Amino acid sequence: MPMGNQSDASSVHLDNGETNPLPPLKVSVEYLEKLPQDGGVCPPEKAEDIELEGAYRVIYNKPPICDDFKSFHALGVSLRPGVDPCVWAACSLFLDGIKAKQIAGKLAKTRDAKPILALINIPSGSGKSLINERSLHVSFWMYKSFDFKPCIVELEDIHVD
Amino acid sequence: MLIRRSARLGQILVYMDEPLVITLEAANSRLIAAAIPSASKMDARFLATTVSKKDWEAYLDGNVDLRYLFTYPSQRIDYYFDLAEMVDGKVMMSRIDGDVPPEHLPLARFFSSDHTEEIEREKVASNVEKLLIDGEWDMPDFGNFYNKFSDLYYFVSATETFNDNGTPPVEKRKVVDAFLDRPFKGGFSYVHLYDDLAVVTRRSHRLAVDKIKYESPGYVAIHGVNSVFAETRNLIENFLLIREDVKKQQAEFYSYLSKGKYLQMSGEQYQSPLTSNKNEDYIFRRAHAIATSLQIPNVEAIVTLVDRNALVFAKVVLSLYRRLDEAAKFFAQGRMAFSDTKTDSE
Repeated sequence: MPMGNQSDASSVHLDNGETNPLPPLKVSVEYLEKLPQDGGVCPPEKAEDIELEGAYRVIYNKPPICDDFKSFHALGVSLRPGVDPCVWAACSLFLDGIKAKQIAGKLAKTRDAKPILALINIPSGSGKSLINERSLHVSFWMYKSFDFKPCIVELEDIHVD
Repeated sequence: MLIRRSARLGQILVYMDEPLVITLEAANSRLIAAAIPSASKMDARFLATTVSKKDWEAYLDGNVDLRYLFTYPSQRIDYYFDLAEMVDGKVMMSRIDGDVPPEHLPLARFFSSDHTEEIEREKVASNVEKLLIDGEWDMPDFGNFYNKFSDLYYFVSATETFNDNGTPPVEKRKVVDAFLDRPFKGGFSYVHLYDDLAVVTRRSHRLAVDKIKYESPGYVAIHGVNSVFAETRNLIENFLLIREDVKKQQAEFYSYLSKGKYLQMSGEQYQSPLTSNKNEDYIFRRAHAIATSLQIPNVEAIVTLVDRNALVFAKVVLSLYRRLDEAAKFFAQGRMAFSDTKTDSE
């Protein structure tokens, strides 16, 4: 540090008496999947690293396996028309278990695959989430460090009438 | 023979790791498609069906479920296609001639409220009319009342729409078509005219039940447009005051039309140069007098809408009389009352 300068955590005092703010600290995180960057920032800037307590994921294996939490992008399926490439690389979660059951249990494709509803608690520091406030659908981009196993609270076979 | 048809991707409605319900647009038709099981994860097979505007609106309003769209409308055409094979924004769909296997259909009670993605729509009317309920009501009573009340509301709304200089020509045309279509054909029931008027009413003017409190006393709160509610209320309140007089006018006029065999005559037949004894002036004057007694708004607009056909005008007025008589009865019985509280929805 140059002589005569005093700094706090957010700024540097220069010799001429002016103060320069420090640039915001950028922490580089590694995502579990290689995220597409050609269509803009991914995950979007609105996505936040937050705790998701009481979220739901529709899975198809009991006990759950790693692939149950992978996006179609990570599973090597080519991007579907009309889908944002970044969303294609996200794992779909719901904050509303009834909605997740309705979709998984009543639509032919998911119903045929014998869906299971996993109640999960995701601590902060696991990834970034973008919540659709109306539908309570969550696009979740996992950090490399994310481990789904300790997050699972409960599993329920989906049978709907 | 395999019939194929191309369609463009519209909008994703349900997304869970992949699109599960989407819309498509083909020439002159809208389709809805739901993902079906595929042999490989790489495939994205869908079952699609054509959807009429009326059924589409009903689906978005939550009045019918997704399965209904794939199973009930008799005019629908079903297709299969693979979304993964889309080229230049278009998919090629193959028509299904037989029955769709049950494992490809959505189960019952999947509604538009279960979508994950929002559809931009015109908002529903924001004004709310509160009607007070009292006394005893059997199961069909409320349906009967609501049918008649909504017939009156949609009639007033349609004629207001037609009269309004600010209404886009395409919307005016829809109102004109509703009046000029079925009332001019034989074997026509005026029930269809009122059904058509409800369909052509724009979403922002439509009636929608907001809340019902089925108690005695209770209430029903209905979304709609204040000016139309005010005219509908005036029609009913006025009818209760002049009911005896107008009933005599209606009975005499009905008897005249019946004896002259005008009742079974279509608008087209009446218009025909081959029809003699039209008595246009008399029929028009009598109908106009009843319309005036009933305080039907926008009478001149109605005359224009029926192409100045005296018989169709008379039948429209008499059909309104019948609906007023039935709706007003609930108020006369003390089971229904207007509330003076006007509110807007939040």
